Amino acid sequence: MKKILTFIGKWLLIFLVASVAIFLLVRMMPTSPVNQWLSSYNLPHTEENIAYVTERMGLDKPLIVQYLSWMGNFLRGDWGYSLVTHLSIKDQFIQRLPYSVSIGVFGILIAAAVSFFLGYKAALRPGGFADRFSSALAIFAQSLPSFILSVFVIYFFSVQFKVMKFFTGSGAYALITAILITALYQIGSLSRVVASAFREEMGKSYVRFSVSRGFSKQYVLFHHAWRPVFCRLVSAVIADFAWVFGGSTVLEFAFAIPGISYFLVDSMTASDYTVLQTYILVVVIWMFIVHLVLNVVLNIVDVRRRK
Amino acid sequence: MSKKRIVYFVIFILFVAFLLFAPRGNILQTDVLNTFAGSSAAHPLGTDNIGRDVYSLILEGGVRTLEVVFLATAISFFVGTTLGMISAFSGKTVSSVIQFVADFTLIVPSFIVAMVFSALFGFSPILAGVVFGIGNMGDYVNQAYHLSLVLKKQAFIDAEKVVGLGRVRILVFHVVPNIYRQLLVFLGNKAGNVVVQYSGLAFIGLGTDITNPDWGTLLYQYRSYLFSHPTLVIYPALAITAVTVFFHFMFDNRDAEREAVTIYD
Repeated sequence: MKKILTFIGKWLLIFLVASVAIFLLVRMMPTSPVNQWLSSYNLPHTEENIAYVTERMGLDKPLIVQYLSWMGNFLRGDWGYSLVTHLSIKDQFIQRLPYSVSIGVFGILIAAAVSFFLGYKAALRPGGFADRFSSALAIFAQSLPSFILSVFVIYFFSVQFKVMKFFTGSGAYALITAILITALYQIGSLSRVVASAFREEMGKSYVRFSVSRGFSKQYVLFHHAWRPVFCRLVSAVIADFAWVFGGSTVLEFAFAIPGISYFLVDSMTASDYTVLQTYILVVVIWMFIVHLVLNVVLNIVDVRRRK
Repeated sequence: MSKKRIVYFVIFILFVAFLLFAPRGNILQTDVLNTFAGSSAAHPLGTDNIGRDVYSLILEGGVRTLEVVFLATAISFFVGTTLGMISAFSGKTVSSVIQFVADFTLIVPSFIVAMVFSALFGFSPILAGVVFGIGNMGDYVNQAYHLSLVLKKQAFIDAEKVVGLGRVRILVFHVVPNIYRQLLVFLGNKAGNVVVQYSGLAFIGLGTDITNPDWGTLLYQYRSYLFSHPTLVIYPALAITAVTVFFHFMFDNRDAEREAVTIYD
């Protein structure tokens, strides 16, 4: 119970800190939203106009009042309208979230599944194929940025061989390729985590006892030692998730997938600050959901944590 | 330091010196009569789509990348380690505040933060370095915290406290020498990550323009010439990969990692 309360308290604090930080940041921005708004309607930047719009946007009120009204509206589901396109920001996010979420979630799920087996093979035979392959993949993922790979993939499959259409049609190819690249970039490091966790379990007395009694090590590892290893894998996924999210931003951009990060890049090029504020809050909420779900999974699998 | 370390270190110094001091042309100089030129004495790596010297652009991009890497690793290493040690050696309030900061930096994607900052205040290596430095700090804090916690329980630290040594002195002269090795391994990994992150940021290119010759920016500009002029894409890609692979092997200690487990193999 106490753990749940600390968890919730910590996330409320994170939400608060993040929202205050982004709120103050956009107010330190060199371009003013008022001028932005006037420009978007082709209105002259006269003093009366500026004063009128400032008042209408509520930007003349004290910062704390502005913050509270923004937070209140956000929590009530009123996320405001874009300064440039004048579309509802909430609708835009709801349309685009599925893309970003599926790149992150499916990418990491595929990576976790593959790396569990790859790590298992690597632990069984150190120096064997799986061991070398996963090490090589880990170094590869660290050294070749995913956008370079995307550029190569796009031009080989789309321009040279013309087997896939990334920028026209339904965009399904782009999404699937982005998911696969996200997975590919996680498999290396995650399978190293799994391999070293399996090696650690192999040194423990319960595994050695079972192997001495004549059970095959494959059987023991798969039927008994999987729990602690799985927990290590989930912890690694939790730690990697912020990184995955940053990585998927680059992929969304490279493949022009209409996800929320691409939306952010688009809006920032037009310096549309309303989207930015909402984006940060959505990212924090999204990270909260990921952490919540994975911690629940950890608690279900790891009996020791529940006490 | 082992022999291998010294060799890597010397190579690294030479590489940095080369990036900083090698003679190069003006990166802003365009030459529309001489676009997509091949390698020649005047342009060792040829020229790009607007006739700029690719060799100079790559060198300049390398300097910018190194700025980011140095700044980011220095901030996360020094600040992170210090905070981690302080957290291990101080009371509950300070400790939980530091832990919260560490968690916060781990949870909020630093790439996104860097993107937001460069969109708001313009793209610069200094800003990116500071953001990545703070964003990658969390791992160092946690690592230093756990390592110092183990040390704290040992007798020699107790003895020093009894003798009356100050806290700062214990931390600097007796804790740091015992934990820095493990933290350095981390540094290699993270330095490579920073190069990748920074090039990704430049590839997206919020707040930057083509006069900033970052490797990521170059890749973004040249990506459509992959088949007509493949070297334009290959040079910056090779530069990024070479630097990250080098960082990986410079701080790698695979021998320590691989320990035999008795009865199986």
